[in-house]
Amino acid sequence: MSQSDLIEKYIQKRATAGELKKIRQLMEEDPDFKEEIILQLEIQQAIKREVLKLRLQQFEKREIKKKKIFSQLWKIAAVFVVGLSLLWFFNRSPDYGRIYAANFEPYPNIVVPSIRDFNTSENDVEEAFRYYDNQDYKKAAAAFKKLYLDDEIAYANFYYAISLMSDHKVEKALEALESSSWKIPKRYQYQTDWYLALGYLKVQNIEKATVYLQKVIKSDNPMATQAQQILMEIE
Amino acid sequence: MNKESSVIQQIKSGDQKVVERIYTEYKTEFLAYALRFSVNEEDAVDIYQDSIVVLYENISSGKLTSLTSSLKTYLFAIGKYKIYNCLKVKPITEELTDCEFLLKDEGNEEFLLREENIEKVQNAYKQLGDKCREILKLFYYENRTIEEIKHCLGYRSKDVVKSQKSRCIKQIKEILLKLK
Repeated sequence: MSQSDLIEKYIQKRATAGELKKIRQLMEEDPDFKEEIILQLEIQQAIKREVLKLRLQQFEKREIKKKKIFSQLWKIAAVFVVGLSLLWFFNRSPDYGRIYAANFEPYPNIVVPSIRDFNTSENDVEEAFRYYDNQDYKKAAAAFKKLYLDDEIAYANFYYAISLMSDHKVEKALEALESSSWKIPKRYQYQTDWYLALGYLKVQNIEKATVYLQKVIKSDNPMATQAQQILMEIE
Repeated sequence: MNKESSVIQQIKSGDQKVVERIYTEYKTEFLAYALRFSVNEEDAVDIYQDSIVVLYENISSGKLTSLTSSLKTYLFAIGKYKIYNCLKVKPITEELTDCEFLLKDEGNEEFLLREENIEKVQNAYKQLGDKCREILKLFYYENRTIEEIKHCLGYRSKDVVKSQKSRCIKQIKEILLKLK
């Protein structure tokens, strides 16, 4: 067996006991042989290191790539979140409920003065307005409804509707206002438009609310300025 | 069996995945540590990889069978030694003993390999062509026989493999001579 074959076997740990003995002997006798074996072992060690090093370098590259992709994803996600919030911010619908609450006020009692003479007995109209003035809108609504149906008092329906609205029964109030608007005095007509506008705003029927707001604005209704502001806010 | 001796067992059984796990586990801390010595990040990563390689080598060769300190302490001691080497600074005695103690060769080998030479050979190996690197890797790293290499790389005969291999080794020797 040649010396190089022996070295090969030694490096790959395939040498038999006899071959190992021969190798040891050669190493002692021949410095060049010994040098060759050491060098080859060093080559082996160096290659082992290099292979592992390459492996770690590739691992490192993959990790950096992963991190990059991850941070990229974060950036994209962040852009999305910001984009969506901006979209929401600029497209959010006005808070109709808030506008309604800010503008709604029960129409004042302009029919029966609230100072009453307790000695005389109260008539139905006075009773209804007492409930109304005392903010007992449920009872007021019932009383006004009765007045309107029994005695066909024109303003009774209007106050009936406002009582309903004050009692948070906006849809019912709208019904009442709509049904009577053609036969009430002009004074109440202005107010009816105004309350219809507010009511439709509350139930988010913006189309109708806009129509009535415009009506209020065109008239010489005292609420015209307020109506103008609301219209600007919802558009 | 605690975590660290299980790591040693895994490496000894040839599991390289565990190396990547250790690599990830201590990397950030090591880079921060290296930065304290004003080593730039690129060099620090390189030193860290080399330290992991040494750790792996010492465990798989059986030089390191049990730890008197934690795996991390051992790894960082190797790293510190390499950082000083990189900075070409002689560590102060106290620190040197600390490193030497951990890196002390147990002397089980029949003869000592020359650390300097291994590094030079590693550099020379990197300069070789793909063909040489492949054939040498198959022989020295994967312990393939000449017959297997012949099949693996599609050589005509074992003699061609042998002469190709010795040409590659000759190239390494030439590069080493130039380095001297």
